[in-house]
Amino acid sequence: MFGAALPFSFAMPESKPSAEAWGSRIGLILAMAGNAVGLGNFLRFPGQAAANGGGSFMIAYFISFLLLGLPLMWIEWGIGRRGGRFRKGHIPGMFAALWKHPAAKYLGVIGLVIPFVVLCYYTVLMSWTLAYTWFSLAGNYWGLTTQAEMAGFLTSYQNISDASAHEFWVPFLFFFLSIGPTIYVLSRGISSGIEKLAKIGMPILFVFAIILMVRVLTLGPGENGVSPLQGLEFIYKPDLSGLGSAKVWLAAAGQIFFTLSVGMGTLQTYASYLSTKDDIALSGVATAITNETAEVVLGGSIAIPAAVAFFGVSGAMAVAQSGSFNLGFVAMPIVFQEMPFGGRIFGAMWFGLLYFAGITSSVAMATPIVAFFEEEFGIDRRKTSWTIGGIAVVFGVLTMLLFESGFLWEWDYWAGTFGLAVMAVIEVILYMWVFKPENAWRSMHLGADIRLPNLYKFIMTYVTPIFLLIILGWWAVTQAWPTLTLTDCPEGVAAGTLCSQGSVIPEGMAVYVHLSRLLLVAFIAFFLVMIRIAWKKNGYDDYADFIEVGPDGPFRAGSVTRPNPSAPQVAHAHPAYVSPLLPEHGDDLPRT
Amino acid sequence: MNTGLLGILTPILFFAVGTSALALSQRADGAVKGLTAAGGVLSIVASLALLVRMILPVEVSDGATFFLVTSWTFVLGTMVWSFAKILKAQASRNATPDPDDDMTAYERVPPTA
Repeated sequence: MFGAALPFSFAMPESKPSAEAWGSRIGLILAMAGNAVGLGNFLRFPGQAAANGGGSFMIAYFISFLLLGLPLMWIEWGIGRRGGRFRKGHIPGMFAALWKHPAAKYLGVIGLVIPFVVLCYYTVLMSWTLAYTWFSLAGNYWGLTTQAEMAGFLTSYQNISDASAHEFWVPFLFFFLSIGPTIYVLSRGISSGIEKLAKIGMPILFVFAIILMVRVLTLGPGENGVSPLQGLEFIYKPDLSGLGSAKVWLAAAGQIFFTLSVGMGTLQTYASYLSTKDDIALSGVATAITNETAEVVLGGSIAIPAAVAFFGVSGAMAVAQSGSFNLGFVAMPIVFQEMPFGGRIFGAMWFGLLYFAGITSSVAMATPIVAFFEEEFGIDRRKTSWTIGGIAVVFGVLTMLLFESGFLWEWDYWAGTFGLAVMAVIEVILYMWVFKPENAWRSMHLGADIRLPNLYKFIMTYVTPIFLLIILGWWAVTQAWPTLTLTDCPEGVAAGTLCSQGSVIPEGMAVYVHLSRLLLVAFIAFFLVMIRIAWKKNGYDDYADFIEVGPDGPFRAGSVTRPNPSAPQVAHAHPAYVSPLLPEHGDDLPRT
Repeated sequence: MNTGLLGILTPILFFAVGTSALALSQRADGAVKGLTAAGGVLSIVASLALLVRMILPVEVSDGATFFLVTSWTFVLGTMVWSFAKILKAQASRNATPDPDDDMTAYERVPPTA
């Protein structure tokens, strides 16, 4: 849609007609950006900025972007594209291609478990946005003008057993309506599904966000006499004293980490559909900065300014600090009701943009798993997509049924927060240290439209991993241990009470928290077994290069030839194809 | 809010100086290029900050205005730059298509398809 309207062509050469490849460069960038732009851009970012000193947070945020976000973006694109040349669109294969050691593939299990678990609960969160889009249009929450009333409306939706505002089947209906399109798009493949969705969804998301931003910033002062423009002061106020606080730096680095969707395994899978003649350096920058535009310019100019206008500065601060979902699902609906005209439409736009942000991300989450089963077991993409979607539905429903116990937030913490940092540490070490900085650096520049500043080689090798290890260590000490031991209680809670991530676990529900952990372990075990089966079945040698997918190689489209499991696994190239493999490390570099 | 003639002319002047410096930097090399470009960017940011200062209410401090303009300029400026570069590179690629381009396309189909 967006691409078609442009007066210039981003089209990739027509000689790449494969269904499993990107059709255009704009489609690739929009899909990558769609993967990154999610609920966090519009909900988490404003809350974090407001709660961590505004201006000082922004400085730490941009420095983190340059030292952590951009380098990780390039690293993940590089790992992905390199994996793709060996027909490995999944992390176990990519890691094995970087490190010729039996452990490499098993380390990659994290790149299958994380996206799968996040998919299961993210689609539930996404269904809330779809439901609220409808509730806004239908005016279901009209008349609930206090935070307590709106909180009750949200709680009734989240907790299936609480039918005070919603029948028990309503959340399930929206969940099925929400996850259905995700699975359908996934089953359509890269160019016909994911790329098309990104070309439609991303422009809609940006248009909705721009309309909302203009509407919010042009609202008159609320009952408190406070202008929404003062909300910008709330986010950007200069408080340089905050730069000395570790908390501010960690919050900023954490936000950069989440917003770019690094450590998930999805960017790598998308990049695996690129060839060495495609640029990843400039495309990586374009993707990251498109996400930043959605976050800083749009995300920072909607929820907080609106909340400031209607609740005053202190009220908005309280809302932002009470949680991102309260800001989006409790405060914003009140704001829409107070708008002089078009409140329902603007409400639908707000939740609609969150839905589009969610669906482009959820599709990406399933891609690494689909790629794994498709590539290693030869299962048809459509079948794999619907099977994985079906399993995600089962666990999504379980998440909804057990929401009250903190089941969803437990998965969100271990897979969607802590796991991402673990994954990022592993991949940086493998790519920059095991694969060697020189190889990584040259690999990133294959087909590049820009030359990355040499300083970034140093940053990626030393600064980014140290930064990541500090974040991981800090989280392990301050959050992971209390979360693991169920002692992360808010102040004033009696000793011995079981809590998870700052909330008291309701009586008798702790067993479900343990169940969620048990399931995580079970998922890890399942994927470990699948990796082992795949390696055995395909006869991979842990100490040799994978067979390279040359243009006339064994996996050329239409070919049914498979590598002989008993054949030695050595770097292979078709005679007509000048392999760019280097003798050492299998680097993607021309011999010249 | 300063909307006097000087208040309007000052940001325009800063903007003109900034864009000129950026244009000049393209013809220079080494440290001169970097310094001229940096000066140009700073000048443009200053001009935008002055303009935005005129729009925002007095409750928004000068410091907040500066942070806002700097961060938005960085983000939007980099986005425009990156897409302009992509456009240019793509135009160049389209003008001289590589006959062997399909040689590196990894057409990945299920092995049993």
